[in-house]
Amino acid sequence: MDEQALIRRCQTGDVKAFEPLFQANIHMAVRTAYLTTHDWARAEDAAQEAFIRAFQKIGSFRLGQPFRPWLYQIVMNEARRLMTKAPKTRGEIPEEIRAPEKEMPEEAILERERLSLLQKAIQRLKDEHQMVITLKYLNKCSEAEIATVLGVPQSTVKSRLYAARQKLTEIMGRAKEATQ
Amino acid sequence: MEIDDKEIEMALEALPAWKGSPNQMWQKVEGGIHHRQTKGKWVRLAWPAAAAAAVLFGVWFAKPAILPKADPLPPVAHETEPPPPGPASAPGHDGSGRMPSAYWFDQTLPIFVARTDSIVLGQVVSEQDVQSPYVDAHKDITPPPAGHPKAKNWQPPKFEPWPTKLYIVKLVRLFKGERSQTGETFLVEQRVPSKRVPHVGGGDDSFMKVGTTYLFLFSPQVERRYEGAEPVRLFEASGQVRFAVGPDGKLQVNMPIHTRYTAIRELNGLTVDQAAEQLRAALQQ
Repeated sequence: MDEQALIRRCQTGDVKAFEPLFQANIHMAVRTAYLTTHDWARAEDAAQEAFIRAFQKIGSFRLGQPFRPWLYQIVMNEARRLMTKAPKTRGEIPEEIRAPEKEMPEEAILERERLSLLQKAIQRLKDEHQMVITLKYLNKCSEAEIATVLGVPQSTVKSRLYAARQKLTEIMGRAKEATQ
Repeated sequence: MEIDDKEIEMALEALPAWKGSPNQMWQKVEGGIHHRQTKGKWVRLAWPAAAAAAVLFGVWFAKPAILPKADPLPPVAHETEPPPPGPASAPGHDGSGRMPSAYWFDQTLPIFVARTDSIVLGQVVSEQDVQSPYVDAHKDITPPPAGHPKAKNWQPPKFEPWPTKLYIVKLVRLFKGERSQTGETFLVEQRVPSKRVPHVGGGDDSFMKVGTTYLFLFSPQVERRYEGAEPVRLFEASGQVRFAVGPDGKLQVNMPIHTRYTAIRELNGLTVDQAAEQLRAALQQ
């Protein structure tokens, strides 16, 4: 059954129809939340709450709209809400990131460090920038989909992505200077 | 070097994978959805009932509130007891030896606080013996300004511990501005010979509100010392109580108040015991 048909059933209150939507998105939802919480337990809490809220709000979901960016937006908001409630528990992303394997170990280490820095830089972006970056690069949503879900013109999404990249370049530049 | 799409993508893809169990999580989500649906149903059903109940209760409780309130004080004992004749020279005395009847009050109330232009009636919540620093009010507690003839020989006065009664009093009624209204002055103290009548310090009554609890200090020994003296002078030439309540609602020391009986500001949520404890601590400093 396709996604839109499942959503239609969910809108009639059919919880069972929500399960396939859940199963298809849970991994990405928890990872998306993890980007904000940096803690698996909290990321799970945020994702769990986001799915419950998504089902509650699914009545307002317009059929034909992309579902994934709509869902991940809820996940990100939920993760942020959770962290606002308990900001002290926010930690750093552990050094368990999977850097692409390279032939030279030294190169791999440098690559890993750079990616880690970039992740931290993304965490420091302001909400609207982090939202578009996450939706586009982690959740693989198109700019048109993001625009529809955020209710802004596609040009705004483009300009936010541009501004976010500029900010990332700036943060990375400063981080590089600090390490030298 | 500008960060490009590829790098961002790689950084985000390098985020660790979630290793939890989707099935377990689904059970929680499903449970959560059912729970909220049930709760929502109850809320939808319950709120009209709750609203109706609230209206009924509101009407029930509002009824006495909109009726005229009974006077919380015992009946004023007008003319039930003839006032003792005051000296003809005393301010406020009209020459007849009687004080205006409106100023009489029921002395069965456990405590009354009086001063020259106001009468404060209150109920004692608590009474404790403490030691308060005392200094003769004739002594200057603050140094005279430089160049003043007294400045040369001025020495800070010594404060002696003085047996003091600490009262926590709930204010029941406050008569204020009677003098200006009637154009008369009167000395309440003359009509209230009991030692149980402390006085409100100068200006202290300006902040007082009925229904609020205040702290009073009363030094019976000082009272005895000045017994028989002219009451207003007694009030002015009194001991020293160095306590007040700061903006944080806590008792503070070193805020001299030139009155023997000082109504310390309202307790601001402190219990009687807490206030007494703070006072004791302040006295020990």
